[in-house]
Amino acid sequence: MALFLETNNLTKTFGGVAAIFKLSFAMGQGTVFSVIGPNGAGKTTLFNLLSGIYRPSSGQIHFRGQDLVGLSPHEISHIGISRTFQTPQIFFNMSVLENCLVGCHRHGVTGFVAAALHLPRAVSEAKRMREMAMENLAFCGLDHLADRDSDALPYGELKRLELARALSTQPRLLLMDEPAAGLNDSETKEMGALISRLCETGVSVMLVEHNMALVMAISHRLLVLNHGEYLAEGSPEQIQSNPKVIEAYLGSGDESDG
Amino acid sequence: MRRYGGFLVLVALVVLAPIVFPGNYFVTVVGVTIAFNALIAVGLNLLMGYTGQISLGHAAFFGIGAYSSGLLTTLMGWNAWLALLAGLLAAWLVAEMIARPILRLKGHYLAMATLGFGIIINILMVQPTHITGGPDGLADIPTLTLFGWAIDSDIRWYGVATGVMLLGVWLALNLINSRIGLALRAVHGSEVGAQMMGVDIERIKVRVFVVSALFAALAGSLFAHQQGFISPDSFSFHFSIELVVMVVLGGMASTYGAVFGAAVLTLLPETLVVFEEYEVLILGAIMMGIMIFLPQGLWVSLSQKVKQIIASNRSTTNPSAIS
Amino acid sequence: MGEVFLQSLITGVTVGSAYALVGLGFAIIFNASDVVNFAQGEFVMIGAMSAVSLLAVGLPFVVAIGFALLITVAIGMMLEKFAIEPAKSATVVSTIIITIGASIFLRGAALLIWGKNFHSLPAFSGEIPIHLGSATLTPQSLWVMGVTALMVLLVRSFFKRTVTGKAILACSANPMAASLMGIPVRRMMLFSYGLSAFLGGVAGVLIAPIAFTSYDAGMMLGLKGFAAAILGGLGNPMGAVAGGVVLGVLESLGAGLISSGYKDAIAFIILLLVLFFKPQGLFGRAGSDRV
Repeated sequence: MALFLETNNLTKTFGGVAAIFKLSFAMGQGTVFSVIGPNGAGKTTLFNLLSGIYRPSSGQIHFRGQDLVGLSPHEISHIGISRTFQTPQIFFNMSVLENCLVGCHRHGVTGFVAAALHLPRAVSEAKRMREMAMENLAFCGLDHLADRDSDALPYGELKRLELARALSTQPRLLLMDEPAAGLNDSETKEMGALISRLCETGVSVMLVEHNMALVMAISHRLLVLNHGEYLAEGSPEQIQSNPKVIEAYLGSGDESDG
Repeated sequence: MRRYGGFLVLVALVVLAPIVFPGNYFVTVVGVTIAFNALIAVGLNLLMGYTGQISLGHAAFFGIGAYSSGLLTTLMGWNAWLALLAGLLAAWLVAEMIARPILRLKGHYLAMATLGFGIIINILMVQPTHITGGPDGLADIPTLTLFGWAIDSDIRWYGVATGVMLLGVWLALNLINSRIGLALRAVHGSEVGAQMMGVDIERIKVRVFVVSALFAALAGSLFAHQQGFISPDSFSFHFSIELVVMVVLGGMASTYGAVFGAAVLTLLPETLVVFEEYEVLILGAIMMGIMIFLPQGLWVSLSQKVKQIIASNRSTTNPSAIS
Repeated sequence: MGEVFLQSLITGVTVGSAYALVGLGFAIIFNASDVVNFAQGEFVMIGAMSAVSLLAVGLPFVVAIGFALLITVAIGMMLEKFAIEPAKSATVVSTIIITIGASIFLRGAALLIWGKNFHSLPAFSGEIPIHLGSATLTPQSLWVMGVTALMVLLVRSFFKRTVTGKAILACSANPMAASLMGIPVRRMMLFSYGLSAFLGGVAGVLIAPIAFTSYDAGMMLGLKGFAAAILGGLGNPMGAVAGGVVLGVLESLGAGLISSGYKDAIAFIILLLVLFFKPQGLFGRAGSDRV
């Protein structure tokens, strides 16, 4: 049986410098899988590779048996991978609900002609999408803000809106880049609970996050990167007691402090 | 449906104008030009206002429509409707051809490329004098006939032009309020965000470019038949700029704003006839003034004001986006 | 064939020098403020037209030209002060529209002041052409090439060697950091616009004896200058200069070989090809990350 997500010798170089180097790992379905590492470890680069924004310099990525290398971000979205960004890529020119409706884009078939002529099938499709988007807003606790302009939302709600929007694509795998960055303690807890609930509904989550309390609380497995390379992998307990990981974190702490 | 309320008002305005002011020059003559310009502006607004892709060369598509109709009917003796279709087809092909490489560019590069394209097409109208008539233009273009009924008077042209314009507005409104419209606006909001939502941004940009080109070409064909005479001046860089001004004057991402902008900018020189030499100066001042002081545009700013007042009077109404 | 080529080359380098100066002005403003100034061509027109008028009221030649350049610089700075500065946070599309608006406004003002007539300046040092085989070179062409070369060298050493020049470069690299370092960013902007206007004015005065000038002469020159800047790689000043000369030569070769009516079309076709296939410009490095 094909693995859920698997990379093999994945490498990405920028002008001769490797941001990700010969990285091989596998992620199981239905888990919260966190990628951690000191700053500059290549976590966001990994996300950009998995979501098709970057093309690997070499190596393979397989998702449910399908090769992802060379696919563009929208094709990857159609295969069932979605993501959120470190700085939310909200469509600030649209309302909260409309943001979420764009997430439903890939489930629709209405083209330019059907849309412009307002054909009945376009109308019924729009209605279906609206229901779907509202469900996802409700899941993230934003349904009461549906008609609000998204640029009027506080930061914490923007983060949840981005999640609701990503969920509207109905992903099998959701990549979340620092979902708790910029959130206060109670918002961070809420976000953690949301991610856990999400995982229970069957969405696998890959997480990049600096808040270690959150990571350790909700992750099933962790992958540790250092300077773009594989350092360690294991359960939260294993990682916390792994001497290599401790050294990498302390070492980098030394550099930045000293 | 509340979103068609505005459309009904526009229809009423268009129908009532010639009844209230029969035979008025500003309605039946200027009104036709307004309708053509509004049609182009509404199409360009789909590209610029909603999708966020500037074009400084849309006069070219207006010209392609006009010259296709003009040349095919006068030189080749084609049926006018067939020529109109050929014009649309030509605009489609040209748009499809250049859209892919051009829309890969952004910002200043996109502006420069569309501008260059517009100027090249304009030169192709001026230079082959033996075909196009060169700078002197193309005369004796026959008028249109609809089921044996010649469109040969101002009021008839008013009916045809505004009818087509309203059709264009209706199509644009539907498009914007659909899955496609959402995707277009998403491209404007964040390209990378839109891609991750499964929007093929390259393809959708090309499509909306083609649609806006078709709006302009349709206006061009009708313009050629209505005027009976066309010359390259009507399709120059300057007109491309005026089209952009129509869109931003009303307010980007507002279909009614584009109609409003087209109306204001078409009426302006007519009312300023006394100060003809000031026209250029004023156009420039409007462009700078709007962008500096009212970057959202006149129409959008005004309608937001009105909405605020209504909302404060009836605190229960919920605000929603204007279209 | 050889003579046609040589003559085209001479004409091309002369016209290209003007494009180079305009393109250089584009690059300076783009570097300083990330704004593409569509009104750049109007500086050329204002420089030339002011010189014509000042000469007509009886000022000595050199004085007239000096004042014409001063007027151009003043207008360049006013453009920054009253149109660019107030719209600081504007998007790319907005600034494009603002500077196009400014260019139309200046053209409109020129129409009111000078009317629609064509004007020209006398040549700086006579009209007796120099023969090179069967090709000819006017003394004014030499003026154009020589002064352009001088300007380019001055601008280059200004950015390389002077404190002000380096400060402007710092503003373009990171305006926030520059202002924290105590560089008066706004004054540097003003200076950049003044300098660009000056270069435009110089181009105008130089070519006015060769090409007739009128209120709307700036537009096409400005667009060609922009094309030159893109050809050279937007944000690369010396690239813009090279782009201008290349554009001028290709254009006049094309005009000589095909037809002069298509001259402008050739320039823009080259521009489109470069944008499609090498958007970072022929000599570009600086602008590539901005695509």
